[in-house]
Formats: sequence, C-alpha cells, structure tokens
Amino acid sequence: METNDDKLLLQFFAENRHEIEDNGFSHRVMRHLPRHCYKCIAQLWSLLSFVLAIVLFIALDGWELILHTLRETFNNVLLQSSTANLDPKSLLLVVVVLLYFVYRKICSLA
Amino acid sequence: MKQLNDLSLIAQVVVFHNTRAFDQLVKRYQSPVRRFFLNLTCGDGELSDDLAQDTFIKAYTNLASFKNLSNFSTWLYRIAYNIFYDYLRNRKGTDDLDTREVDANWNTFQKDVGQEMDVYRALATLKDIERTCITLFYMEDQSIEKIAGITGCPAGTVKSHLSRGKEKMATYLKQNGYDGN
Repeated sequence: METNDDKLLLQFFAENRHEIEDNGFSHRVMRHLPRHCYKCIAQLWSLLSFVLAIVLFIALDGWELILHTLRETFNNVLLQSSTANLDPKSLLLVVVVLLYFVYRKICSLA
Repeated sequence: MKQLNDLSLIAQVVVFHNTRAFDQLVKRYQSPVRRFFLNLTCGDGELSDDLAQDTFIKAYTNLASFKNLSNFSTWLYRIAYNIFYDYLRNRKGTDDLDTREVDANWNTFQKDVGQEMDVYRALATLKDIERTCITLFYMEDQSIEKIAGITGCPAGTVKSHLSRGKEKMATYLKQNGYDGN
C-alpha cells in the first residue's frame, strides 16, 4: 500500500531525476578498455611455440626417441617383474585400472 | 525490444570483440550508472565517474559470463554495487565515508543551486545500504526482487532497509520544509 511517505519520496526523486550528459565519458571508458590485441599476441605466441615444437620433434626424430624409450621401459619392467616374481594377475589388474582412468579422463574431456 | 537490442550488442562484443557495440552499450547505460554512483557518493562527481568507469571495464572483461538470467541493466547495477562496496572496504582502511566530507562535496556538483531541497543532503542521512536500496527503488525504478538480486540480500532485508530509509528521508524532507507541493 502506498503511504504518504511513499508519495513524498516518489515525487522528490521524480523531481531530482536527471539524465547525465555523456560529456566524453564513454570515450574515456573506451580508451581504458583492455586491448584485445594482447590476447591475439598471446594466441600467436602459443601457435608459434606449437609449430616450433612440431618442427623440432620431426627434426630430432622424436618418434624414434619415444619408441626407443618405451621399448627400454617395457624391457626393464619385464626384466624387473621376472626377477621380482610379480604376480601377472596383479599386473593385469593395474593395467585395467589405469586404462579405466584414461577412459574416464578422455570422457571428461569430450 | 531494448533487451533484444542489448543482447545483440553483447553478442557482437563477446563473439567479434566489437568495441563499437560496447561503446553503444556504454552510451546507453552511462547515465543511470553514473547517477547511481552520484547518489551513493552523495554527489561526488569525480569519484562517481571513476567508479562508473571501473564498472564498465569490469563489465567488458566479464561480458562472456553474462547469462541473460536478468536484464543487462540489473547485471550492470550488480557490478556497480560490488565496485562501490569494494571501494568502501578499501577506503575504510584509511578513513570512513564521512557525511561532513560529503556535505563539502555536494555543493560543487549541484547544478540547480536555487533548489532548496537537495537530494544528496537527504541521502547523506542514510546508511550506505539504505541509500543503495532507496536509490535503486525510487531513482532507478528497480523492483524489490531486482534490488535483492543486485545487493545479494534477501527480499525481506531489502524491504526493511527501504522502510527505514524511507522513514529517515521523509522525516528529513519534512523537517526541511519539503511537502511535495
């Protein structure tokens, strides 16, 4: 319900409501906006770094290095497991759990 | 229609980084935002413009997070409200928002010096939160629900602030001879 105080305040604020002229305010705001070009430079830098990484990977025969490292690791694991008498079932379980985690990670990224 | 137009401008800013579209939004909303700050600061024009500028810059950087759950103006007022209370919190470390200082400021920014009753003097009698609610409700025509959304207070609390603020202001206006005629 509208009281006398309401009416008084409504009238008072109506009398005192003025539109404020821009007077260069919007221009001042636009001058202070963060520049989008910095973001572009950052993206360009990321792209260049990525391209450089690919070029170095190919130039230094990255695939061969990775395969070699994996082979070495696999051989070492086999060697150690045979000397430590690891249970193949436990190994299988570990592999399954790891595969499950990888699957969940891929699903969360999708 | 206005809301649709706002959405179109927002989309242009977010997708194409179109600063001209943002310029149009600034031009459209500069008056209510600056007036809101003028009332909150009891007429400190320079401070109001600084805070309004911060509001628009923050709106620009966070425009992608605007989900259209409320009007753009409500979203903008919420940013403005947060900017003002951040300013008050930072300021409280050095000195409090003093109504005497505000009184000293108001004269320089009041255009209509012949007007007997001054809105900023009247608003200076209120607490910050009461002033915010009264300004949004009476000056900016925001509903209680929207004020609750802007201030983050429950609607009941907003009603209490409005009631107390209204009572204080009406008393002040009547004491100073303003009867609405």
